[in-house]
Amino acid sequence: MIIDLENISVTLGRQKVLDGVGVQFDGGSMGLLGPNGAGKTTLLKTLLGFLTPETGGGRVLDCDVRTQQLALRQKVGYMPENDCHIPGMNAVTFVAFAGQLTGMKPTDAMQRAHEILYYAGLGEARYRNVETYSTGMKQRIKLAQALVHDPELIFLDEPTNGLDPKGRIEMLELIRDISGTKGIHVVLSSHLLPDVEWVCRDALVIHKGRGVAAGRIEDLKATPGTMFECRIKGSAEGFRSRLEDLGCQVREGDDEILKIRMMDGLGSQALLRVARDQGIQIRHLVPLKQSLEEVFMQVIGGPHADS
Amino acid sequence: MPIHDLSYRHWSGEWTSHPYRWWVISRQGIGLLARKKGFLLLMVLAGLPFLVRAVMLYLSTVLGRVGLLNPTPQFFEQFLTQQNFFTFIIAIYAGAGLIANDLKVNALQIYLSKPITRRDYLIGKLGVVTFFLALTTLVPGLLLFLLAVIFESNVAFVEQNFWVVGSIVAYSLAIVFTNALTVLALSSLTKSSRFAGIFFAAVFFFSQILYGILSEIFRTTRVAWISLPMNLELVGNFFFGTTSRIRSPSWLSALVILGLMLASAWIVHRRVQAVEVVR
Repeated sequence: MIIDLENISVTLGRQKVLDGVGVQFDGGSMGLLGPNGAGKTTLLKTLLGFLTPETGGGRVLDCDVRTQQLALRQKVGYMPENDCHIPGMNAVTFVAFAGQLTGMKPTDAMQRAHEILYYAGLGEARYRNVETYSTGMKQRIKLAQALVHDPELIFLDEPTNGLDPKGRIEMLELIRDISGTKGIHVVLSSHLLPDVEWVCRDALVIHKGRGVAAGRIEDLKATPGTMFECRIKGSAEGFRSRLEDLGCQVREGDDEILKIRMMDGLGSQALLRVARDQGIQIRHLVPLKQSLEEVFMQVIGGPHADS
Repeated sequence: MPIHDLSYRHWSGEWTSHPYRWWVISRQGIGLLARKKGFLLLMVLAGLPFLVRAVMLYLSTVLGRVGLLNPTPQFFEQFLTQQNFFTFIIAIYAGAGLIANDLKVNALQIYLSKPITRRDYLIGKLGVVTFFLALTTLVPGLLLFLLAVIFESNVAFVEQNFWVVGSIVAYSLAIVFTNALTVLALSSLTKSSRFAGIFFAAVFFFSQILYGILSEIFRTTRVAWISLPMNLELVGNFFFGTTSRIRSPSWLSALVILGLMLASAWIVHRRVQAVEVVR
């Protein structure tokens, strides 16, 4: 197990930011999902050992998050959300310095900095002062400094923030490459669901400091019971109430389209039977798969859950 | 023909040991400052009093042309007290931005996400300031003593004055650490190196001005413990065993200096956090 945390609670000031969160991650790539302020960054900082949890604990890469924080940080890389660099340095010096801070010798760190900057797409700009970089370049250099010491696990906090569409795709491709072909485990924190869906295999959804859903994204998207999108001709009332009597959930979408989650064991035949009994025509019927967004909205309790 | 992916290679070199990780930060800070021409000029200027005193020492001891000047303990004490002005300027130049600039660009997250502790970070930053301050106090002070020994070529001189080495070290360290810790503490309180420099100058000058006002009002020098430069001077008097024109006790100044150092260390330790907690 790469990350195995149980019942993590963290309070910052008077605010309980994490409340009994558990994380189980067996490697590959995991997305931390949640609205702004849900506790994603706090969880990352707890995983890094910046914050000591009040309750709970666990291990990351076989290091105890409470007692082996230095050993843990030797093995992981962290790309912070905010703009950050070390003033007065060009890119190659900055990344080499980051390598030395993790314990690399100066010559090794410098050599590695050149390699990593090429990998991150900053090879041509590596002698420029970091302060003159664009937002996209700053995101890349944050990734480069996190990778310089060849970590086993990398934490990426909102890595596509402020990027234009092309830059975003390039960054996501880079992250996919890191986790897919370079053998580095990735934990990606984002409130952008498509980013997580594109890059990650697993997801942990956090809401108001609690873990509300976790597992493989494919499993999360799989609905309990089959789901259909259906358009009918005739009165929907009777059709709807009959389906609800059978234990199905019926939701009205745009253009008079009904989204129907069937009760376990019931399929399209049951739906057609109800339509026949109610004397209505079915004009459109397709099986539906939930998007990650729908799963997300469902687990955090709808679009206005925060307000 | 196999195609090798050279875009990312795993690294399997040797790691350096953790106890010296602070030195990476000090070395980097020293290197950055040493590349600034203005700062190098300042360091050269700070070295001029040493050259002047070395020449005076030579004229006095070898050629015997400056009869009034003798390499007494006061000679070394006065040199270090004079250097206070340069240590003040260098502390501002080298130290005011050390933490403030890191806070401004969120660099603490970079530092502390690596396998270093807050203590490593602070010792590393302290190392930058103390290095340059020691170059203007401790190093020339000891060199002056060495020159005095060479120029005197007299065993009796060494026998009588060997304790001065300890005094030079102690007084220099008091100057270095008082300035370094204070400027770092002030640097950690703001994201602007300019403000940190102004605060430090305020501590230095306003305490002196306040002392001047209070000593005029009460017609006594017993209030010298209020002034940072005066406290350092009194501590110097204590280390060199010299008498002072100021009537404030040296132990009180030593306590004030110690308190200032401890308070500065506490502030800087509290302010340097990987996570900023808004209470």
